[in-house]
Amino acid sequence: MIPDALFFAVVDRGKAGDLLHWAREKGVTGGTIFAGEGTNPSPILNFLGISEVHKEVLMLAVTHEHSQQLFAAMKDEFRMDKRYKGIAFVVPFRQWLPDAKPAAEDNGRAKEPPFVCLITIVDKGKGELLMDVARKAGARGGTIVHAHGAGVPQDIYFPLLIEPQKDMVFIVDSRVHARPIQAAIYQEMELEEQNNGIVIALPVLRVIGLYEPRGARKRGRK
Amino acid sequence: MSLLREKFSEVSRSLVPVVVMVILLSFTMVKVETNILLRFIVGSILLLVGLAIFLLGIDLAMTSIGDHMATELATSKTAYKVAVMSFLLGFLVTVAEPDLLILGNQVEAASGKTISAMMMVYMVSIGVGVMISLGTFRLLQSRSYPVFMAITYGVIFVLAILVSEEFLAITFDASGATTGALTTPFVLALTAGLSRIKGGKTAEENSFGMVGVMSAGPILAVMLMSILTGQEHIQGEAEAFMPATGILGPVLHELPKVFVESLVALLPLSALFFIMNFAKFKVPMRELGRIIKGLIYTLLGLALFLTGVYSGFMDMGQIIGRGIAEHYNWFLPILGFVMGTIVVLVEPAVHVLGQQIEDATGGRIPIKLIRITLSIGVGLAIAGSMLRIMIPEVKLWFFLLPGFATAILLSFFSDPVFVGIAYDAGGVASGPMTATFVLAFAQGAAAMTPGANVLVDGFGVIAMVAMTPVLSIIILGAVFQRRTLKAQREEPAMLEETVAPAPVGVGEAASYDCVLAVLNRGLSDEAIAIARDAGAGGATIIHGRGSGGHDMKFLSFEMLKEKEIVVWLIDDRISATIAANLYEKLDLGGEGGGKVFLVPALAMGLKAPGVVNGAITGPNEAPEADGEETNTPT
Repeated sequence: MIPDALFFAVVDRGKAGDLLHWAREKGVTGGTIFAGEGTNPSPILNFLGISEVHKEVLMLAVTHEHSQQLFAAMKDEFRMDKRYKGIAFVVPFRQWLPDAKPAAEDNGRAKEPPFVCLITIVDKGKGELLMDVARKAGARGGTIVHAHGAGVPQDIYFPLLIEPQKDMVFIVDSRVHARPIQAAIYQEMELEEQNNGIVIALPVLRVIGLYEPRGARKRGRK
Repeated sequence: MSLLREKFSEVSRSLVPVVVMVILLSFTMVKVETNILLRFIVGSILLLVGLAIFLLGIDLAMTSIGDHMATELATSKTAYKVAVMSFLLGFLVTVAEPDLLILGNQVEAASGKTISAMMMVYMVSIGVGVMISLGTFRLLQSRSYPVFMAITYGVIFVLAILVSEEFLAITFDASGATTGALTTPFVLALTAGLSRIKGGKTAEENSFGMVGVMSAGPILAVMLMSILTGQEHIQGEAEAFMPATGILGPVLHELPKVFVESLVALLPLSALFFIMNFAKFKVPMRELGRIIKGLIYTLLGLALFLTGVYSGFMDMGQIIGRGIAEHYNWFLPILGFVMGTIVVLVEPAVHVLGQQIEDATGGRIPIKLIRITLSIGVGLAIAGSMLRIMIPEVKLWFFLLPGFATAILLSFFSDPVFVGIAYDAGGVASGPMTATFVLAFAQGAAAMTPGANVLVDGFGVIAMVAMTPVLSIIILGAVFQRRTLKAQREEPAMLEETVAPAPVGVGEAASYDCVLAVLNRGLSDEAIAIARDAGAGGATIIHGRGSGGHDMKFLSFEMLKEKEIVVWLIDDRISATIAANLYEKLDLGGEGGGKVFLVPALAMGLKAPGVVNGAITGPNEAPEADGEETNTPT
């Protein structure tokens, strides 16, 4: 069966390897791990400069059955139903294969997905500012991933292609809550202007590990 | 896990074996006075707290500072500016290093005042500046690192013939003194910054190697000084050993002194950064705040760490060395091996290097594997030094010459990332823990061994520690390289696959696909070019590691392949075409080749095209525009 969903898991640094291992035993082939940073909203930790939490993001292409199994494992073995243990979610996709049928391509767009994953790409260093903006708009957390753009030739002494450094911020929330967050990011980060960044929303079919922040959320849940 | 807790657990894991070893020894083979043992425990606690805070500070401040400096260097418009600035950076971080001044004073005494302490400090700093400058040019001009190091060490070999053995030991000690607790993290961060900016296929290997380049500077400088002044022999003996008395007294006595030393060491670099920031960088407030906090942590942590080491570990090292040498002479090499193996892991720079390996290789190279190899290397170095103390006929160059020669030879057949890490490891291993605890142990052993010269044998220890990790990690890299090549040969031939015509969407709404391509490292530039030709806009690249098809097990360590994830936002009517192009042109067919995913992106409430920014093909453009790029059906 062809995989039709991308499974993302954000866990503490060092644990993604175990998870990948575990998944491979269940028959999931191929996975990719990259480093990210979580943030902790505590003002005390922030003042001390230690609000950063090292995380790892695991990305797996899974079939529906595997995704079910993985979610069960997330709950039972990785205790993701508990607070601060990480988050996992699935995004529908179609993998480009030479013989893939273009038929089932709209599996996510057709129906309204219950959750969304906002991916914002901004210049390096703005990721935390963005998290502040998102938190004010009701976001519960996010993961910052360091990335870079394609090389740009510049007029300098060395014949280098300078790679502009970027922060990518992943925020998962219910579809309803994501709207104001996305709007806030768009406005506060001034994404309207050229080259300030982009914000993308991906459909998320299922999520585990999403919790209310300590201290009740102001907006009522729908 | 919070960052601070992470550091604490990391440091305590490496510190516990050392404490256990010392306590075991002090109850069995060596008689240690109670107050010295208690002071050792107080020192260990200070070391734990200090090192954890220090590493946190390095994380917060040095990476940013290194990054900004590197950007400034790499984007200079003239070669002159690059040369001057990189020289200045190397000079400034070295000139304030307290260890170097201590060494200078020792050399001044040992040489009968022919070489003054200040002259030595300046010469060594100039040496480091010149080497950093050359190293920067090498990196940015993409010249071969093994060749560069082979030439550098070739020059050192030639000069070494002209220098007496006693001075040979001092030259390496000078290099050990310059790769101190502050300089090494900064130089590592600077290199990481340079390689990040340069990017490309060699970004991973370029993140390492500068510490190795830098440590050659002092060696060359001191050798030249010895030849120019005609100084051949070391005079005098080391000071008589007098352990401090009391438990907290020495600690409190040490703390303010060490604090000032650390402050002085940190000052030039910080000052340069703030001046540059004022004039040029204009770092945003949040980041600046973080850097300042980081610098404060670095200072406090370093002061606590060094206080712990000086007051708790130095006397302990001497006592153990003396005790063992007196009663259990035969045990010295074995204990030396064990001690070298576990003590080096408490070295601050070893942790910083580990972090950098994780960051630069996307976690592909297991840090544990590097740590173990490094440890064994240093263990052998100390064991070798013990043999040298016990048997005076064994000369220092018996180890150094074949060791470095083998390392240089193998570096041409080794995985390039390991070569850089290896040369760095030499500098990293000879940090403050080795220079105090292990050195004191060796000196203690030498003092109790008839026929050994405390001063000369002591200096030789650092030289050994600077050589063996280079050799051991390069050997690891060579073995690794063989495995990789073998694995590649065994890889099944790619299946010939015909690519089906790309289904071009005919949707009306301007909606987008988020295209994620997982590729092997180094392919991203090509992928972006292909996609751009096919009408895609800008892309973002993340470094990661992944399993794909053939996995490699290496001594029970799992080696994942290094991957790049490229993210585009593409009009969904041409995204499939682009995916097809990527698939075909990058040969993503076979096992572990790569994958392309298309995820529908939602345009949520916002005016759809506005969500996207940049050169994405507009909705008005005909999807057939890139027809010639697509494949014709076969």
